[in-house]
Amino acid sequence: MRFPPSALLPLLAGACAKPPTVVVYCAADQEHAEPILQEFGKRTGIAVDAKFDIEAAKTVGLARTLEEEKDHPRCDVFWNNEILHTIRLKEARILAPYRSPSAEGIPPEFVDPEGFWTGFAARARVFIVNTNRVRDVERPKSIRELADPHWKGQVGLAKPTAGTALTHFAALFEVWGEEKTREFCEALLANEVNLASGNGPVASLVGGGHLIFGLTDTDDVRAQQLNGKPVAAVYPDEPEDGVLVIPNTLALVAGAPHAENGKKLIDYLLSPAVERRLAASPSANIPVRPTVETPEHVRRLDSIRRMEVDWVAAARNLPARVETLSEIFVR
Amino acid sequence: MSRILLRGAALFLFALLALLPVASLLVEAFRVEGRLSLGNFATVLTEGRQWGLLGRSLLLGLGSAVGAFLLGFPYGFLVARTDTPGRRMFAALAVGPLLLPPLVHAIAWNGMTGASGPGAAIAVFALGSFPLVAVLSARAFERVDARREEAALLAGGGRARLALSSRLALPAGLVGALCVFVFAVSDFAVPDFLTSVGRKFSVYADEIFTRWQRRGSSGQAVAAALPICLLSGAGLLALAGLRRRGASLTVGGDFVPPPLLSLGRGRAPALAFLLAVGALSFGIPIARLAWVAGSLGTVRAALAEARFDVANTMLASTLAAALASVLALLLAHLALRARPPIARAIEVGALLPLAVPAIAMAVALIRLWNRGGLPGLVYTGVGVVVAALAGRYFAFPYHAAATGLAPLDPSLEEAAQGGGIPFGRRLLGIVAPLAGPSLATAFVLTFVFGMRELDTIVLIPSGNRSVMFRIYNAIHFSRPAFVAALSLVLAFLTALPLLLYRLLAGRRLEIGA
Repeated sequence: MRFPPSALLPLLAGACAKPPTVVVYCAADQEHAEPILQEFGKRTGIAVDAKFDIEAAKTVGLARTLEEEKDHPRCDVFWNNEILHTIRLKEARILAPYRSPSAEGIPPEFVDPEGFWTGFAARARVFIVNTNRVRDVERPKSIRELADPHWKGQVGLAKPTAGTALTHFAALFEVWGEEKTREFCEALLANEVNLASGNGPVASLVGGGHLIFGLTDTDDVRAQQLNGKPVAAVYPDEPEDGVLVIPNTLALVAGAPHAENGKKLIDYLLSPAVERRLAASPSANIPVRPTVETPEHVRRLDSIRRMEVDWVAAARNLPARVETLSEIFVR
Repeated sequence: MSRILLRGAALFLFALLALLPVASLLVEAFRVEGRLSLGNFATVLTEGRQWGLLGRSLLLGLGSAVGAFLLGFPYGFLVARTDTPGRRMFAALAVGPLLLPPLVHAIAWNGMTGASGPGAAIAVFALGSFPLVAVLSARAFERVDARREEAALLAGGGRARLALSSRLALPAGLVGALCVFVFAVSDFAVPDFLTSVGRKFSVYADEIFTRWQRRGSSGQAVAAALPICLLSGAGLLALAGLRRRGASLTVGGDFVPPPLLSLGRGRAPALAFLLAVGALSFGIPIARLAWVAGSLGTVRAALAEARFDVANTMLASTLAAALASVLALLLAHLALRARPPIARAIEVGALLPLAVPAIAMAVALIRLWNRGGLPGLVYTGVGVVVAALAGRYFAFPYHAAATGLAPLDPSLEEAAQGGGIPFGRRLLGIVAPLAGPSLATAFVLTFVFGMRELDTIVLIPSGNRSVMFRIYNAIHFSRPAFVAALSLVLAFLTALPLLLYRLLAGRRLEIGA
């Protein structure tokens, strides 16, 4: 039997999947986001093609892919697990405005004034503390304690060149100023702080007793607690700078191939029901709506004294911050 | 099908998969704001920090290569040429460590012993990649002509014979070590993971990634990648030279296979060495994964959860392996019959994509395929993943095919040509069957590296559904049982073509240098 080479073309050109009806690039953790996206597919009959990011490239990978695809967009909805790269994509004209009716009740500070993105389901940057190794009275109260010689070599954080660790340090540059933040970074190195490959590994190292405490996200603390590890979350700096709270953000992509279905997905994801579900899920997100009820282990947003950050300025300065942080931490 | 058409199609595909992505990256490195410039290099290479990172990457690469050579070369000798008990079994098991990605090796050892630091990273690469040295060396040791050994034996005794065999097999072993070097210098996941606690061992691949993540700095990322590309490229070119040298020294038309050497009292230590290397590189990591997975139920659950990822990975790796093998056959055949400069150009071209950092290749692939029309269809389907895998790892199938075709007697083809049999049928009916084991090797090598690939395809939307992607994320979600179970599934599925080939063809694969 003759097998013409041209028969290979359809096989190479997408035989593994039907054409998607809505494409979402999702920087939120696959474990938590996938069931929600599947639920949307079941409810609406719209097939969801989701692309996730790996932990090491968190957000950056997807944001760069969106930039590379700018001339031929493939994605409809960008679900970011933080905010800075979303703002940068807006400024690069990669996003389209969409004011979702489901965003009702979301405080204005979490909604882009021009409607290019909407925030929901936040996470806080907290300490994960090994309760077997740190007594209650010794628990760290400020992220400055990462540089305290008392804890030398025993504490950790994710290398702040990607993900929410980068977002956190970019925020510190805005709140503390360049000089003070640089000094803090150098002090961290001098204190032999351990630099893990991500927030999850920080939490694992603390959960396993390899580190006494570390800086991570609330969802990573919850994951360790669900695994039965002796850990607790400590919200640092509440009396002073405040706790950094980072919302997930949703945006419609400019030139989205399935824009209408993309809007439906955004409407679904911004619904109070999804925020409630994310709060109750192992990711333990903090609802940005004051009306959404939360489980006991999830703090309500209005109970946290938050760090006030000019996100637009932080996003604008991000490339310079990445450069500075790389100079300090990648050497 | 006509010779010109087939070869033209092969050269076109070769250019598309291997050369064009590399060329587009080079252009980008020399362009700043649309103009030709050396600015990217000036920005990147004048920073002192870069050289420290480069030094660490070199340390990691060289340490891994030396370690892999020290394990692999004697391993290859013992399984190929001696009467060590169980040598056939150890020969078959030699590829085992390749079934697990380096990061999974790192997780297994770190979990068991708490091993960490740059030394642990070097050990992980050496143990996980030594088969590249062992398999190539074993094949080379088997190809030392018995008459040359006999002459050496008569002239200088057993030591002279061993020295001759080792000298002749050395190029093949170095080829394997160079491959280990290339893989180690472009990796940052293993050193990053193993230095989460303690002093951070940042490597040059970190810097490339950091440059790349800044918008408008792709040119700088490529410029930053250049020292690694040049180092890897220089090594790979040396590899090509060694391969040619090795082939000419050990293969002849009237080749007489060498006899097995009796080790006498040395059999026990030889067996102990093989056992130790086999256990450290494969047995213990696999046992650790099985222990962490806990039960068959966990493995079944992991397979059920990741079934679409498994199916996609298998499909993409199989298609890439098939495409690369056919292409390798055509190009190796062309190189064999072409003038030396053309043959060398093909050989170098096949090696180039391997020298380019994976993340840079991914960017090039997006730019190349994310267009309208047919390229767009390829980009949104599995096609772009197939292109990524076949292009990046083309060096392996090409060299396997070239090795298989080298000893074929051209008179067979000439006789068929005289009988009016067209080129395509000659290739399929005469050349391919005779080079069968080498082509099977070409297929298996591409398949194995395709199954474990993460970095090249992670940025490509359709590459997102892969087993390695799922494993990598589960590592960060603190799901050790799932990671272990899915790694076992991955190892089994990666071994499947090897097992099938052995069962169906009743032969073992031939990988030569």
